[in-house]
Amino acid sequence: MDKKFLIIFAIRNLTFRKLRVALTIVGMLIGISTIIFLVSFAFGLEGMVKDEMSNGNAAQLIDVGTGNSQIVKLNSASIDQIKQLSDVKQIERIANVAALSRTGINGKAQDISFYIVSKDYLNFSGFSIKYGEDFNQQTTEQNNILINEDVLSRLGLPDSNSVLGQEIALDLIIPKQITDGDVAKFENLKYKIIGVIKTGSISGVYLSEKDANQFPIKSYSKLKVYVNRSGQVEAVRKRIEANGLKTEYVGEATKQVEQVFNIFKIALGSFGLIALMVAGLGMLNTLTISLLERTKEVATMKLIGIKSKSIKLIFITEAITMGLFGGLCGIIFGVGLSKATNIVVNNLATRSGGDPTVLFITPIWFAFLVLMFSIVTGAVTGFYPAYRASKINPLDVMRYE
Amino acid sequence: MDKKEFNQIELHNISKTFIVGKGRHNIEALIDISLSITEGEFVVIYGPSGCGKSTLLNTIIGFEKPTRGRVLIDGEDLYKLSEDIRSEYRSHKFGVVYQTQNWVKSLNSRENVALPLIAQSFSYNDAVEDAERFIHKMNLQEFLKQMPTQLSGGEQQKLGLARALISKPKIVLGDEPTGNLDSVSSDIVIGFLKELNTHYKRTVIIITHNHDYWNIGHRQIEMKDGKIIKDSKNSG
Repeated sequence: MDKKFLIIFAIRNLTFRKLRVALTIVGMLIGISTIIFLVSFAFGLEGMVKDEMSNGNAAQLIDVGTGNSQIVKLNSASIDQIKQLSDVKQIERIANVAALSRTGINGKAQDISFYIVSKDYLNFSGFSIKYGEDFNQQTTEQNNILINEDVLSRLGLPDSNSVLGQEIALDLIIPKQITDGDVAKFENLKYKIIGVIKTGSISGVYLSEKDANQFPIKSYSKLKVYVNRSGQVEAVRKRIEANGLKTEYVGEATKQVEQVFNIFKIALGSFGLIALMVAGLGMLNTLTISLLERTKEVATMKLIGIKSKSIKLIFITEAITMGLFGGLCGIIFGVGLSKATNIVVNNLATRSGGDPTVLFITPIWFAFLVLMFSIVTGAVTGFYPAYRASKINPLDVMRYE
Repeated sequence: MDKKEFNQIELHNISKTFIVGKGRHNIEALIDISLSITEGEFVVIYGPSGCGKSTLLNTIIGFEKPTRGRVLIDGEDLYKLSEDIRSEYRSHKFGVVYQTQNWVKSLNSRENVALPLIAQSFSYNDAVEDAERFIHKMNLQEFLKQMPTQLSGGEQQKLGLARALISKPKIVLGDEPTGNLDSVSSDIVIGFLKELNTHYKRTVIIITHNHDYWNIGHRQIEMKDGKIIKDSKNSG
């Protein structure tokens, strides 16, 4: 049977019984939009949590340390070994050093964490600057440091722009794990603050590696190994661990988060599914009543010579069309509602001093999946009336009439 | 042998029994009927209500499977075909006009007339184009896009005739085609059927209660109690 006719006939039949069909489609719309709204919320939350956990490169970064081993070292030899591995694109280093500030609250000295980092280490750590600039923008001037805003108060410094350019004096104690020999001490070193890092990043004071030539750094506390593609992470990890080093990968935690959120999405989606099932029953009801009203029409079509399987196709096309319309309306309404809620929530958040966030995310593949699901729901609910229609004996109908 | 004598429809010992009330009561609608109708014949069937005329017609078009006997159309045993093939066969071979026309309510006049062609897998556009041509022939062009139920009884019957004829069937059957019409409209419908028979050499079989039309064909068949009691040819 001609497809164009099937579609025209389905639309004509649906528009012929406007109110009933409109109510059925509203039922579908509620079910579908509930699924879209709730699951988009789960996607949004997942995105927020993942963003908090990692920066953009996290999927390709491996943290390398020595664990508690006193034998294995993160020195130039082991770094070179890792560099040789295929798929390793970049290695960034950090050395933990103990520091004592000469100035502090009420003039008391304060212990602070002091880190000597290679060029992109902080970028890979997902830090963000609150005031000032980072090392990449700095001039040739030496002994510049970045400071975490948590540390400012401990040093008795204001949490504002005015801190930029201020000098602080520190005593550094470089432990033997870093020097590969004796502990090295440096006193009264002067450093200028060029940037303040937002809370949430690693707490402490940071010095660029190129300004640390005077220190006897032979080994590092941790490395960040950047691989070409996230797919290679596991292979590279295995080869690094074969050398006795320990690795951590944020992707593992992200995977766990994904698993948790997948359950969350299914749970939320199930609420919508219940609504959709009710809507499906409504659709079944509409189609069955429509069939009962049209038995004479079906008999007429059969008398004309339209085959039973074409009759079945006519009813299923109608059900699919209804599912399609319901699905499309539901998706549009659900996405609209998500966006509107996001705008309202962000407005409230901004007013109370928070940052705007993306609370609802509707991936296109998910919207498409929901649309397919809606069409399948239509087809499934249409099957029974279609089957009954195909079994109608036209002569029985005509005799009864 | 004369080519005109080819038996287009052959009924061999047809009986049809309806079982009523959980098998306790049988109604014999047709009893051992044998009948041959040649191509191009115009046959008028009449008889009292309940004598089995409509059952006979439905048996010929492949709708009412007989309890006994065989129905051959152009030599093909109709009830040996599957239901779907019989549907297809019906849409090609037969055009049927009933006393009351039944329509698909959501489709307009031209789409309703186009249905038999759509059943034959014509494209929607081609079928509707053909339907428009037939509706023009019936002088109903002003109703092309109207719903058939908005037309008068006579107009609906003409539209039903257009639907029955659109697939150019070789055999046209009418079950009381003028039953609901006034005399003027009845004459127009019968005139069409007559023209179909004389000019287009279609085989026409009609059931009618109207005495005025008993003699319009080549042959009269009278039925009573499920049997043919008279089968006579009209002179001239």
